[in-house]
Amino acid sequence: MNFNTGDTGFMLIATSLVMLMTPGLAFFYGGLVGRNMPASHAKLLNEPWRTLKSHQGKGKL
Amino acid sequence: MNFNTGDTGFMLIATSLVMLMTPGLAFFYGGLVGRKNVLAIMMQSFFSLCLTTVIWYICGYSLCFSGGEGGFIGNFDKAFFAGVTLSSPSPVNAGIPEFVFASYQMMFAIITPALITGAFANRVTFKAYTLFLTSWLFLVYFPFVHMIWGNGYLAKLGVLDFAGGIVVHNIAGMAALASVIFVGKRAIKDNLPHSIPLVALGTGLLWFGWYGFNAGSELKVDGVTAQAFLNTDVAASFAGFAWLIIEWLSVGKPKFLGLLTGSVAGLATITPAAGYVSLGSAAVIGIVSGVVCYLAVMLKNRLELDDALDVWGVHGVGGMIGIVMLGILGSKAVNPLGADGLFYGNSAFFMTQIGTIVASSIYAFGFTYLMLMLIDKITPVKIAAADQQNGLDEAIHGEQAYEGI
Repeated sequence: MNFNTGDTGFMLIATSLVMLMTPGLAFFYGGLVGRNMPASHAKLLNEPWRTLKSHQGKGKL
Repeated sequence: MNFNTGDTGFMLIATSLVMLMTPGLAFFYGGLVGRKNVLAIMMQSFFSLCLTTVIWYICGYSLCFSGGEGGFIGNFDKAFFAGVTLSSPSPVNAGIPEFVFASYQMMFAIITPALITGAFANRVTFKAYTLFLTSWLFLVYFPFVHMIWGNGYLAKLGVLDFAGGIVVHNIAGMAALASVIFVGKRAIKDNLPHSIPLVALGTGLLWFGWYGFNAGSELKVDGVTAQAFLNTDVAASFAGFAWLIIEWLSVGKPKFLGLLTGSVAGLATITPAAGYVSLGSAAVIGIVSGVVCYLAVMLKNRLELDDALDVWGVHGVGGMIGIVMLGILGSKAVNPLGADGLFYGNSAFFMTQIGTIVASSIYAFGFTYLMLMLIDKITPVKIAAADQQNGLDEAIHGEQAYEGI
């Protein structure tokens, strides 16, 4: 089977471009929400601090 | 000379996609390190864009692809691209110019040493890195490119590596392991990634670029190109999914970082097999990759090896699995230029793949370790503990990624 190399190559590149839209969408939405939301990443970073605070609280009691 | 415009245009775009992987890698690694070490590691990737191109122009291309039939390394006949003209046809596919082939291969040479930098993150001096990058290209990368893709020794043995399971991922991953053992642990324990969104940006760009990396590796456009393209995507997805599930089951939360790392592992693993296996085989390779690479990273943690960004677990092991799985699942029905694997009753090809991956792992590990020992005699490789505390961005480069840290 002899495919048209120009059409096929172009369509493969176009496919790659459409794939890149999904990470693009992730950034678009990721930037639109509050700081705590992307990947709940900021929340995780807060975890040690919260634990520390609750330990301090217990110390005072 | 009438070149095929479809093939040539596609290969130039594929070359651009592979180029974009190196900045992608810089973001991937940059996000994974602490806030004070971002620039140092990102710069190592971008520096490879410049220095490797310079070396490639001087004699790198020549050593890989000029002469040396059946040998370990090429000659200097095409140093400074001597004799390469606008009308010189490329090896493999005479329908594209040799300039396109040389550019495409150059992008591979750029990203391979940059992959290693994730292993020794936060503790190697820039001077030592410059020497390391140069000597690693000459002593490890160029010989393997020549032996496998330049009609060298391994090509004659019948070893198959579609887009760089050995040439790129395995030797980079084993070099990473050697460098981790040589430089030891980081003096500071800031192993929390400072920005997972940056890691996601890097993964997105790597994934995008990987289409050029794998689909372009046939150097022309036909059905096999499309097969390699879709295999790449399917393996990455299955691997990311498998890694996510296995990590979710063991730590209790679906980790974004696991999804990203798993996808990259799948991409690395399918690389050698992309144009030689069926779509179903690509799915199997993806699942195996996600599970085995995850276990490799767990093993590394248990052994307390400070491979900071898991270069060995993802690329070293991924490349290895890919080469072995190609030995099992390779199919001539997919690509007549390929080979039937063990599953299709060809044990000789399987044994060739296994032997080669063992030899390449030992070679890359040994030479990298020796090289670092020699470089350490010329200039200190490791950064003093005090400088590691302050962060490499300030200590080495006098620059900051973010204000006020």
